[in-house]
Amino acid sequence: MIYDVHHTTRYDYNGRVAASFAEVRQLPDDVDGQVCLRRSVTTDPGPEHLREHRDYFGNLTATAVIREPHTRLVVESASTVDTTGRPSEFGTAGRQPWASYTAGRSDPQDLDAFEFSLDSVLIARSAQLADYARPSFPEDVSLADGVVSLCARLHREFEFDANATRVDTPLVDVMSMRKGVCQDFAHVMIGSLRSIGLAASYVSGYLETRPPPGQPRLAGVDRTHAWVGIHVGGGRWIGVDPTNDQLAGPRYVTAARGRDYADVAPLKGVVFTDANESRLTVSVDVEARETA
Amino acid sequence: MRPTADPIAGYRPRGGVHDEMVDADGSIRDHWSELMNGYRTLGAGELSQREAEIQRLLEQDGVTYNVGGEDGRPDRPWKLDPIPFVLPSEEWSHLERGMIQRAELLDLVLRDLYGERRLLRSGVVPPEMVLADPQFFRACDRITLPSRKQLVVFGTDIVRAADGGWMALGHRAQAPSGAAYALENRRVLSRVFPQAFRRTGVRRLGSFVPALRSALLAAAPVGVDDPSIVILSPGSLSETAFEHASIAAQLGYPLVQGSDFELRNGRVGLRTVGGWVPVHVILRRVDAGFCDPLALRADSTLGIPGLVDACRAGTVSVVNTLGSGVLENAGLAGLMSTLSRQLLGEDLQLESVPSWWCGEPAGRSHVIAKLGSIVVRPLSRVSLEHSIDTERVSRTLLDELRRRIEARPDQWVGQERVSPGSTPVLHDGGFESRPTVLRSFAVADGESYVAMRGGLGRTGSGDVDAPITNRAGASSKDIWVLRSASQSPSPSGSEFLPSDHAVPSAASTEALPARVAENLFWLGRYAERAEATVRLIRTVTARCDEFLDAAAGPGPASLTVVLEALTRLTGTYPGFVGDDAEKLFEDPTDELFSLVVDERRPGTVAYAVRRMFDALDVVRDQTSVDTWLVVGSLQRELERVERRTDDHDAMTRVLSELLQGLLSLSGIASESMVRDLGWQFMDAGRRIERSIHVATLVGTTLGTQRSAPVESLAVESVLVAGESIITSRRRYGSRAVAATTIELLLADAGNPRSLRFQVDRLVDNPAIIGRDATARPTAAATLLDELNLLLTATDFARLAEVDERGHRTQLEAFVDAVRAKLAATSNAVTAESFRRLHAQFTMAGPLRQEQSTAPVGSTRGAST
Repeated sequence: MIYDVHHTTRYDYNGRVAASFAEVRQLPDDVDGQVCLRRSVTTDPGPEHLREHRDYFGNLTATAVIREPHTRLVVESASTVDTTGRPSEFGTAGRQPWASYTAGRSDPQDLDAFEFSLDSVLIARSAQLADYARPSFPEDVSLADGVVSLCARLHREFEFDANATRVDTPLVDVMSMRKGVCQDFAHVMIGSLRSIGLAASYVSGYLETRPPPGQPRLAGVDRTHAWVGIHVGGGRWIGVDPTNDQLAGPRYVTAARGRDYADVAPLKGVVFTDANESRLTVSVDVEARETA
Repeated sequence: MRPTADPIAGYRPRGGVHDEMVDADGSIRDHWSELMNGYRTLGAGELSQREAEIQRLLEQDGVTYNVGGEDGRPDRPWKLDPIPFVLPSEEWSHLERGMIQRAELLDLVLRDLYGERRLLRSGVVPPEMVLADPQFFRACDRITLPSRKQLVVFGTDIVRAADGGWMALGHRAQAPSGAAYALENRRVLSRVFPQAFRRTGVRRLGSFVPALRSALLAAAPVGVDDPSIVILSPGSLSETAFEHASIAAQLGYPLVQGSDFELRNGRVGLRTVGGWVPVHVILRRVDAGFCDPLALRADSTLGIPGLVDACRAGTVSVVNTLGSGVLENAGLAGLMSTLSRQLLGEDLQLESVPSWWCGEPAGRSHVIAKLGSIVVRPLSRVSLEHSIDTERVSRTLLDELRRRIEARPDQWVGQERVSPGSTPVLHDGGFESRPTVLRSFAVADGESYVAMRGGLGRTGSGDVDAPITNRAGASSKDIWVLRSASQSPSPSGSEFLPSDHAVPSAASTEALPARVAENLFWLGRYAERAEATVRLIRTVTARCDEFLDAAAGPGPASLTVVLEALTRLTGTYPGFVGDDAEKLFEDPTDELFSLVVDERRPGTVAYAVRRMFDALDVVRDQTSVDTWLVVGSLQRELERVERRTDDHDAMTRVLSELLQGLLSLSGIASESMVRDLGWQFMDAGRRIERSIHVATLVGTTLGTQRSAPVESLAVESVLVAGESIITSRRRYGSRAVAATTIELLLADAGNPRSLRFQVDRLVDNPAIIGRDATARPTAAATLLDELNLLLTATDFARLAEVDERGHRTQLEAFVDAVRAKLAATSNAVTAESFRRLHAQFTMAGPLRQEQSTAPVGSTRGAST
């Protein structure tokens, strides 16, 4: 499948902003089996300075400085991504007993995966999270089966509730409420896997929304989304979406990956202003091209 | 001359540790004997006097260590013991080699951790140890300096163990503090003990400041021939503000803050009163996390958004690198031997105090087993946790600590307890034995490092086991490294630039940061305000003494006029114009007293002096030692009067002292400061303030006509307060009246106290009217032109005319117009030259990610 992705973030302020500085992680890359055909980021007002770099985790990151005074800032990214190659099943990967995939000191060669088994800013391993993972990981079960089981349980046992949590709600609170949004689902799953020694990453990106049967597709109604990358050895990762209980196959587009949300927030920034209020409007559009 | 008392006689080294001065047999070690002979000759009495002299010199130089007091005066005077820490040359060479080797080693570690990370991949350094360190900044990955060395400035804490061997306690690799204190200690001690210093054969500290300057130049971005270099400070409230200002002044680079910066096209530069100037090298004294709110800590307002990106692009170099804090990781200490063999192929020359990282099972069980007899340190120095001496904590705390280590073992390091070697300190006239640790410094020098030959010694309290930190109020020591027999004496002359002959700061050129200019402007205004208020109060108190006993008559009536003027001039309402004024006239003492000492009341002398201090603190790197001398005396004077509330004579004396201090300050400004842009802003502040003051003084006292005898006395007071009484007497004798006073104080271009004189200076001041004659005139210049015109067009003789109701309405109208123009000028200068950045916010409303299958209502994301 080939998708055109548009991601627009708009801030309206009740006063003039003298300068805005933004770090944008909305630039898909050739990762997780997808191929990026085109990508760009623009701002309105236009940036005085715009530079791209690859961050520590390899994500294409744009730093933009907007110096023209403004009361409204629009950051827009556009990309075209071929997701045909994204795996929708584990296949032969992850078929060994799960314990053989635990990232340990024995194999620090694979430093990149190892780092995803440690604590991060928003996710601390804990006995509670390990306990949550354990029923899905009896001794001889394969990594793939364990992950699928954990994903299904999470989907069943946690309630999707857009109002239960905030972006900074601690993981322990999410665990006791058993409610949250995709970010919380992903954090719980990552924390559970790390707490039993597995390497898991936080993936931010997009998911195509299908309209209810018989209704036309509306533009701009899609969402930024988040799911979990599972390290299946040899630097390979497979995406699993606990919010929707499925693998992050060809309907998904990866934008960035990191240890948790804090590493990959799609837009971070600093503004200098006398305004004291701002309104944020986000719209995401994931449109499938007619395939020939 | 016979010594009065032998200060050394009673010295008893504490047992169980190595004493620097006295050996196991109780005799004085060879390398101390020359110095001790000198001290014996001086005797205990003289030593105590020299100790006082040291303290006086340090206060004069404004050497402080801020520890955040509650009374808004956080400065703590720096303490320096009269007895140095003495080391023979050979022993120092050993330490120096060890320290430089550590710097070499950590430089390689730093390059690797932000590059290939082979040390982690190979497991030589346990990956979790670094990856779990909050000072390992992933945003700084692959940022390198163009210089050979990535670690530019390096500090090591070293300690002498009981067996006499030396060990390293820890590293300082972010922005090592203490070097400027060490230089200052040497400056003061060599001045107070010139003979001992010479006879003992002390080696020079070496060229730390020039070496640092060269290292900063070497770190400049490739292709920049004449780099512009600044020192980034968190501000004058920082613990080591003295050091930042001192280093800046000695290097000759501007001391700046995050808010002084502005990015242009991704490049880092300064907003100055002369426009934007690029910056190529930043010597930072701000913790890395706070340096960029965009890429690092979003909640920091001390940083420069976009700095990390500019470093990545290679257009600016930050020294030490933003990632360097990871070298302070407590776990690295235990790996130094291994690293030395691996990376340098050498044995480690200066051992670390044995330590165990709890992230390793073996290390953890060792530390847990030894809880109660070791020191436990957080992995990162920049954490909320502190080092804990487990021998000194309760059972409950120990259990608590064990639980915390077991919960997050990778965040803790156990370190063997060392009882530092002791040195004598002077205490109550005698020698006492105190634990002492040393910190010394190395600076990158091309392919290797150059170390300061000496450093900063710190002694603990009498309690041998208490932590030795500046926060805990430790005293400091100079470290004297002695010449060996083969080393020739250093040539005479100063070995480093003493702080009172600092290289003029680059900030005194066109590259004057707007914030610094603003503080110089207000320094000028508040200094003048303080002086004018002191003069007026002094005039008033003199008159009170004269007239207060008189029940009625012109004396008390004229006093009323001046007291009312005092309230209006200082804006300290209700005061002498309020409902209770009658009562206050009967006994104005309390109110007058409050107008001098009440620091919290705007309009008082103490308030103005406090504001002066605050402004001076900010521009500290640009002010001479003399300025600090005066400021210190003003502060002490005010504190003294606070303690003597009802002593009227004391008040009179204090006012004289204050005036004297303020006069010397303006003397320094007019006789000892270069007429650069900074001076121009300060002078503009002073002129504007004096203009406002003199116009208001004349307007409020002479606006209404009084009976001839009352007016005569009032005029005299105004002339005294306006510092023009002598001229008036000479010129008009006893015929001084309102008209002559108006002429002398407002119109006389030759009277340096007159309004006319101030305005003539202001219209010539390039800082205010703009430096480019061809450019469009500034708003301030236009306002001053209008003011000038007003003065030229005014017939001052007519201002004294009185209307049918006894008012000098023309005078009042004139004064109102002048005040309005001056206020507008001050605002225009602020708007044009000191334009401020707006408040900084984090981009609000973090994006919420929502479930794709949720019902779709609108296209709006969550907002906060």
